[in-house]
Amino acid sequence: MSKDTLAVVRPCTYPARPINGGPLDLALPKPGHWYYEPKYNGWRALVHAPTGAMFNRRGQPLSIAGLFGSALKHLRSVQFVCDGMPVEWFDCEALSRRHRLGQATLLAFDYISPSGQLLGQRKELLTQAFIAHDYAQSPLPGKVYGVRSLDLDQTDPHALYGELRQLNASWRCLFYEGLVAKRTTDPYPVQLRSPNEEFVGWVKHRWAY
Amino acid sequence: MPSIKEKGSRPAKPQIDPLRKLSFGAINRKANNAKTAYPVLPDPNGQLAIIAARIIDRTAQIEALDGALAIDKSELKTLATPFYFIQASGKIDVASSVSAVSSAGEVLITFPNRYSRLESEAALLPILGERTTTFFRQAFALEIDGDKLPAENAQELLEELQRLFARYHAAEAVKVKEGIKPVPDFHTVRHTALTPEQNLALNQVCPIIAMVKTKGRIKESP
Repeated sequence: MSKDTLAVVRPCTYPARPINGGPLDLALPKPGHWYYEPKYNGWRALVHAPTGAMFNRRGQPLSIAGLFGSALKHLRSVQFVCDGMPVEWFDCEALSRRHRLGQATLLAFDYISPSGQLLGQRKELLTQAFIAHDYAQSPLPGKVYGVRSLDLDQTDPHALYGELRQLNASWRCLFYEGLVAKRTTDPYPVQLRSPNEEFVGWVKHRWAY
Repeated sequence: MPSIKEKGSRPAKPQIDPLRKLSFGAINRKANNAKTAYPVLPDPNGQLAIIAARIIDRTAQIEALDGALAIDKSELKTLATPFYFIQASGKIDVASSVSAVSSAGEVLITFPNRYSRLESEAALLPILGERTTTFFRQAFALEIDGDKLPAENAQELLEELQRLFARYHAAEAVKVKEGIKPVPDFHTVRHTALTPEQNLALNQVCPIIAMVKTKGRIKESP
């Protein structure tokens, strides 16, 4: 990524920051409708697909962006349109260094919808555009995956929470950090006020807290 | 059939090492995520371990409760906001809070004159149109990004700037923080000048910073 590109492209938002919900086994029932998805142990990256510019959760250029050339090329090639408008920004977990699995892979778990779509709609489109990551399998290096959400009506989050922990043990690394619960009725919380502003519509439940 | 030419193995290029780094061979490398080991308190009867475990356990319980409380407060604000705009519509003197009543006591959802700063007016225009400037204004503070100044003239430039501001007794004012904020009387005027629907739409792009209060509102146990 050239300095010129980074000078032109500025993040359209700080990535949504979940509140801390403590360990899932102590969490109280949440009002409303929620999806659950694995919390990956990587680097948070807001990616501008047309240019390949990557920004960290503080809105600064991601220092390890150079490692993701192959994944960024794939991201750029995907025609992703919502409500007739092209989607440019993807909220991803960038896998590198923290463990050996899926090196230089991007896990796209959300995008900034130009029309303010709700999470349920965004997740549906996202899983159509990318190969969904099967959480029971280690991701291949240098790829782009979509992150599926698991509907509370169909999945027991406690069972998934335990399963992810077992996968960590069998892979001998902290690949998953826990689960993130996301309220299905919220648009993406676009804001440039502060990188520390937390969003109540996303709740992280980690093993280590 | 087209022939496929295999790439021959190229002779290895000599490795360039401008830093002339030392090689540590078989010596174990410290893992990046290794935790610092601190001196451990002696604990002959296991009392400290019990307290430490209790702290960890209670911290987890508090985090879980904090998370659940934040979600409930957010839910209550979301449900209360449409009612707040509807009951305040057309009024000049508007109640600062609305109340949710339960057998355990009362919870207030307070709507103070506090709004999030906006980066631009773009999201306001579809709702307010030409009236955007009636209700919103540019707010800014000045700040200097030192990295962008030419290094050779930076000192001179800063001194000149300080002299300029000092001449007007405003040396403390040099900062830049720009945004769009509501005009001072927006909080009261919005209920007479705009419909509840417009206010709700505005609340999506410039949310009022509502608060949930319980102090003094909880019933005493018999």
